[in-house]
Formats: sequence, C-alpha cells, structure tokens
Amino acid sequence: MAHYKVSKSATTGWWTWSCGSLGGSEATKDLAQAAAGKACGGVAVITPPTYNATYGGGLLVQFQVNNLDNILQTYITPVPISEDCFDYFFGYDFTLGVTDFDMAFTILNIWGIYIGGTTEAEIKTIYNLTDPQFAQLIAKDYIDLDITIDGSNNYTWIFPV
Amino acid sequence: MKKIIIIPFLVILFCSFTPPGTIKIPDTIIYIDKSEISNDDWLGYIIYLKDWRQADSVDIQPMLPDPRVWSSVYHGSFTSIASIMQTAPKSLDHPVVGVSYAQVVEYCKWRSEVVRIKYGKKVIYRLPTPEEWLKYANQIASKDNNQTMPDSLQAVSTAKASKNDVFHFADNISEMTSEKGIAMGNNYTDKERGFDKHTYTNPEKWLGFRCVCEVSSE
Repeated sequence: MAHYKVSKSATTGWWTWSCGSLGGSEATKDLAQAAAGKACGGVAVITPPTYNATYGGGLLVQFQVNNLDNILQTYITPVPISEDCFDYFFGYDFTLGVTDFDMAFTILNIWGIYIGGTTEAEIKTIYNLTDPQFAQLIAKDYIDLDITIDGSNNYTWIFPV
Repeated sequence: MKKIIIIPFLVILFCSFTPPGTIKIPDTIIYIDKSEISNDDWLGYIIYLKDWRQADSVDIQPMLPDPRVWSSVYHGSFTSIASIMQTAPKSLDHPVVGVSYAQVVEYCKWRSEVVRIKYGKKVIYRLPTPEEWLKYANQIASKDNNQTMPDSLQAVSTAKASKNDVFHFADNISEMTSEKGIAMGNNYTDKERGFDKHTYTNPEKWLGFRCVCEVSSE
C-alpha cells in the first residue's frame, strides 16, 4: 500500500505531497490529499504540525496551531486543555495529576486528530494503538512518526525504531 | 418627537500580512526568514516545479544541490525527490547546502511567485545585501559568544519555537547575500559564533541562505 506525505510549507504556505518519485503542490490540504491519492493511491502520512506559543510571566498563556485541516486553532489555558497538559506537551514540569489518558488526549487534540475516546482503553481502541505504541506516544517519542489514516478513520502508527 | 441621527462612519481595517516563514524587522518594511532555508524547503521547490502532472517533462538536475558538497555533510543523497526521503529523511529540517548563488536567486524568484499566487499579495523575496543582513542580525538576533559553537549542522529551528524566535544568524551556516561571493554569519566550521563576513566562489558545505521579503502595497 502506497503512502504519501502531506505537509504545509512554512516558507510558501503551499501544501506539498510526495510519494516515491512523485510529488506536487496545492493551495489547500484537501487538494493536496486528493492529488496525492489520485497519483499514488494509498493513505496519507500526516506530519504533526508546528505551533506558536505565547508566554506571559514565564507561563504559557496562549497557543496557536494549524490543525490538520489547516484551521488555526487557539488554545488558552486552562481550557480546553489544562495548564498541566500544556506543560506536559511543551516539556515543562507538570503535576502527577496528569494521567496517561490526559497525555494522549492532549497530543491528539493538539495535532487536530482527536475524534473520541474518554479513557485510555478507548483511545487505544479507537486509534488502533498497541500498549507499546501508546507508551511511546505519551513518552512523546514521535519524531519521524508516521500516522496513516484511511478513508474509514482507521489508524496505523509507524513509530521510529 | 425624537430624532434619530445616524452618523455615517468609516471603519478602517488594517490587515497585516506576514509573508510565510518570516518575521518583520522593527521600524522597517522588510521581513526576514526566521531561519535558514531547509532541505525540506528546497525539496518543496523541486516538487512544485516537477509537478506530478508533468513529471516527465521537467528536468530537475539544474535545481539539485551539488551532490558532492551535499553528501559530504548529510549521510544520504539529494539526487531526486525520492532519494532524500529514502536516504536522509532526518536531514529535511536541516539547512540546504551545496546550492549555488544562481540557484538561490532562482529560488527567491520562484518563492515570490508562489506566495503571490497563494495569498494574492505582491511580495518580493530576495537575498539581503551584506549591509542589510548585518543590520538586521544586530537588531533581532543574538551572537552570544559564550555559547559553544556546535561542530555539525543543526536543524534550522526547533519544534518549540515561539512566534518571534529567530534562528542561527551567528552559527550553523554562513548565509549568502545579494553580493555574489559574500556570505554573512559564522558557521559550524568556525571556532566562535558571530556575524562575520565570509567569502566563497563555489557551493560549500557551510554555505546556505535565508531570504528577506518586501510586501508591495498594491
């Protein structure tokens, strides 16, 4: 099954996709995914987005990120994601009250691919995460992680070795 | 009897547009890239021009970095779209090296055009003059000499960058200017960080670039 990578260029704003020796650029993510699907078949490899953070008094007060639908989302602490969860995501000290579920929820939510799940078990089921993969996710060991999502919202995770 | 007087008023909306990848230089009309142009950025350039719908009709060889220089830094090859993805995926967020002055000038022209198409704004990306580069670096960047100079290339930015962060004016690679043969800023082969001037005649493993951008009021 072919995989294609879709990502937004920080220097031009265009959505670029590639698979093997093929590639292209489109003005929107949907067009890029459609072109990639037509040229390559298969499923998308999603690149986790980058973000802008605003700090005040040493504390994170606002966070903006384009989700995978290219919609700019702004999060302001403590809702909808708690300050502790922000701290976890950004690598700061956080309280022990942040559960494994909170961590996974935070990551999926910030990446813009949260579609449900209110417990750790549900997250694993919905996102097709094995126990080791779940552990790797919440350990934020996801540099070079590929997440593939097919048309039926079936998730496949390819973690770095 | 009451009278209602309606006073027309004018609402002026100031819409600011920040060209992708850049930050505004205070008190100027110039924007500058927050970080050096990366391999991923350069790959995006090639992919745009070698669009899949006309893949066979475009020769990407003139756009590729010098393979000898590039492979002396990165373990892999950048000889095609697929090669870098397969042999050196971890290099994508690192600065592109091995590109010539002429290639970079063409990249800036291309970037101006695609940003104009995408955002409907007339923008001109170009290389900064040596004087501009030094002035802007002094304005917005740090050349903290107390920091150790890394002895290898680093990623162009960090995932935890905040909106106003700028990167690597004083280290990583030296950056081409509009004056052919003149690059600014120290690089990983230097002993110390700094905004020094360097000279070159060919693509080098320590040489890359970032653009400045002007937005037309049209």
